[in-house]
Amino acid sequence: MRNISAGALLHPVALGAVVLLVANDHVLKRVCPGWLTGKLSDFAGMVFFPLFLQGIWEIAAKASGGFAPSRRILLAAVISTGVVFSWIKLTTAGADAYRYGMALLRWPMRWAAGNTDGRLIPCAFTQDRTDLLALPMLAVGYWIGAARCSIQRRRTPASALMP
Amino acid sequence: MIGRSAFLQIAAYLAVALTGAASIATSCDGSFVAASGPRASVTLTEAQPSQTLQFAVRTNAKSYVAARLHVSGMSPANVQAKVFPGPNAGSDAGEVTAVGSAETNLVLCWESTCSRTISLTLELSNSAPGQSAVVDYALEATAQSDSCDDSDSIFVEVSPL
Repeated sequence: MRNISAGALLHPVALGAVVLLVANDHVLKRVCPGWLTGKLSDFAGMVFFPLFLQGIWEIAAKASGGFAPSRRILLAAVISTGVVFSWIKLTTAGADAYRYGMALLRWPMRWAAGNTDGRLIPCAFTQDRTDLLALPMLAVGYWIGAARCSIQRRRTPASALMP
Repeated sequence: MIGRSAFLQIAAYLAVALTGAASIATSCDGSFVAASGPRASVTLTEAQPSQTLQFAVRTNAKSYVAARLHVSGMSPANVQAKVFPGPNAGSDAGEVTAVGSAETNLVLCWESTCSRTISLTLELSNSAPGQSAVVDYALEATAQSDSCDDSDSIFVEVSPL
């Protein structure tokens, strides 16, 4: 996976987290709404989202010349995910930015489906401070990404690192 | 014949695309629309220390109403506002009492079948003898759906009765 840009997302735990997010939001929340299903998506998101951000960076880097899995980029992705998630969950400005941001991202899909009259209407959003319990799951995302960086470092010959 | 690393690279691209789509498609708890309602001033005098105002909220979804009050002319602590829904509200509807300049949020109906007109009462009272107070009030009703794609079909209106 080390030479595959965005390869961290192919890790079984990362793929499992994405599947869990979709299953929880589309099935479990309706079948058994409650505290646990309210948290599962956040837990899943904290695992895969930093790897998703890292993957986007790697794809962009590869397109512009080349890339190597970077622990620094991974750490920046983990920290920014945690900071933005906390901002959204704790502040009115963050929640509003999320509501309108998601509406903006969803608008093209709704427009293509003929499901909008053109207005940008914000998504509803449940702001729950206890969702911050999901933050420690960032460590799982970091662990998956960092293991990939370590393999890359071990297998890169010292001469290749010379200028 | 496609090589293993090329296959994995395509899978990684697909994983990024699907993860992005899943994040956008699922990270939404529903839709809501808000409607501004009546906005006016009421003077509470010694001769008429309390006033009762009635409104109608028409909606086809779960709904709540925000009442914003601003008291002037005397100490706001002497003015009390009570906001409560009529008997046709949802079984989970609330009732709010506020003192002075305040913003309150009151659930009118939070059941799956809230499609009806719900009456709403705003009671304002002045407890300071011999003084007059001016209360500016504004109502805003919000309807909310659990579906992210309902924002064009849900509606809410609030008007005086």
